[in-house]
Amino acid sequence: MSNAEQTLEQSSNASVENTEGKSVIDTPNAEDFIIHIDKANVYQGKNLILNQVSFTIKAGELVYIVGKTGSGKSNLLKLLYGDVPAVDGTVKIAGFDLRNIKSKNIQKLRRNLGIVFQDFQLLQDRSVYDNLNFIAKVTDWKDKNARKQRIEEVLALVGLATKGYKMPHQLSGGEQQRVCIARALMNNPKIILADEPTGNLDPETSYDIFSLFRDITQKGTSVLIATHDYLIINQIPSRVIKIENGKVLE
Amino acid sequence: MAAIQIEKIAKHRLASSVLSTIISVTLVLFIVGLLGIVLINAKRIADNVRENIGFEVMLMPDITEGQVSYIQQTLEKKPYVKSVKYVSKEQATQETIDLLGHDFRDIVGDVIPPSFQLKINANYTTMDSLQMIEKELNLMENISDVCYQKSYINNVNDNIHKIGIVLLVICGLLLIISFALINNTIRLYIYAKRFTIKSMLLVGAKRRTIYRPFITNSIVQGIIASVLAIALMVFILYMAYNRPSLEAIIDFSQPMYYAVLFGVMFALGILLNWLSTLFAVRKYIKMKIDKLYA
Repeated sequence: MSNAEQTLEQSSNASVENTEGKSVIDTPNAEDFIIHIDKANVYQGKNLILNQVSFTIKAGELVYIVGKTGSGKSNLLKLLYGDVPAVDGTVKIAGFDLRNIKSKNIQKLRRNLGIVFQDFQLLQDRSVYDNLNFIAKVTDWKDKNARKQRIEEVLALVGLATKGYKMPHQLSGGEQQRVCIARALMNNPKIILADEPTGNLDPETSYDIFSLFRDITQKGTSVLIATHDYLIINQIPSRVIKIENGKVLE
Repeated sequence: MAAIQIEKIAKHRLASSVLSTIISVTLVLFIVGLLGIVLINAKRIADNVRENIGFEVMLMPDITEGQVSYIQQTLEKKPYVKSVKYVSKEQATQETIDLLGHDFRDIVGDVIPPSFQLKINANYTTMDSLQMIEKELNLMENISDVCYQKSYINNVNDNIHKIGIVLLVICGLLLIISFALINNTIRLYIYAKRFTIKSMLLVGAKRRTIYRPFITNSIVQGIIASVLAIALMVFILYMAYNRPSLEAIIDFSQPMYYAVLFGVMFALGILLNWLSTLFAVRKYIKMKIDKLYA
């Protein structure tokens, strides 16, 4: 068990409060928490974007973060995958304590998360298959056959079984987003962080992608989605965390 | 169809960017090689100039052939003597008449003595050594006078010294420019890949995983560029070798110097590519995402 995991375990039985001071979750077992944020501030450079953020997410939960464009949803996710430093409060995710994380362990953290970026962040110089193969390699899938099998599995899961040979620019926006999801699923992460995963997609494709996320949570993976697509949230309802005026509300 | 064309264009762009990097590095290494040849041969060129400095050793007018032969043998044994040429009285007189355009003997009489023209080894062309040689020659029998152009020798030594310094400064500057050019070329190549580096970081790639393909490519490109630059140098040297007029300037008697030069060029090509790539990739690994768009 890592130091971060031990620290997380020690914090069991803690009561987590939201910004209004209410206890939102009484937890008997902190190991159930994939994300545990308590009184953390989120900055962009030197500017405070979100004030006193507190919430938790359990294994297998589908949680939406909603808020206006520019409200700080993406920055909150950046905080969770180590692109924005955690300078105060408690920020724990997938067994990593981001307050005390060393810079070299940020890459390790990211390998343990599945991240779906709004702008895809696919490697444009290689095929879909090679994009996934790259992730398999960096997450220490040594066996070539096992890698191939896993890539085929995740491509089938996102409905791109026959598109592995294509280059990212040869795919539509929806297909590229599916590749991102496939990439996020490659290493069976405990949690997937999705930043506006359907920002540029048509409603039908958006629904398919959110359905896919819902299916993923049924296999025990938590999914945290930053979105402002209320229509989809109504179609696939789940827990919603709202960002408003620099505060996080449930 | 359009997608295939875009892919072809992308591949073509990548290939041409790699090609331009290799060509730039090749040319820079070629310049470094040329500098190396200049440095290798600079001493030879300087020695060549110095060894043209001559002593005029005037002999007694009534010297016998036997005495001339004895003095010549004595001089040839001296370590500072590169060559000795005897100029008889008749030969010297005729040369002077040719030079003046009229027979001076009608005015001043038959005054030109026989002489030796000495060429001195480059190592003895400092003013101190020349004065010692002058003294030694003056002490020999049947030598009436020893002449050499002191001011000319001073000028030659001064100029060679100045040229040496200027050459070293130019070499230093060109080397710095070369390094900067290689570094810049590679940085441009890596700059084009900055978003790929960032994407790799965002999905959790280890730093060494990100470095590896860039470093491998840079080493391969360095090897190709070095081999091309060395091939160009060999071609230039081969052309020079077949021109006897360049023999005095370029020394082909020491092939080991050129082997070392090629080794340095090869190592430099790989080392500079490797270091520039390392620093450039590290810069983009450490760069904040906001600055990538700046």
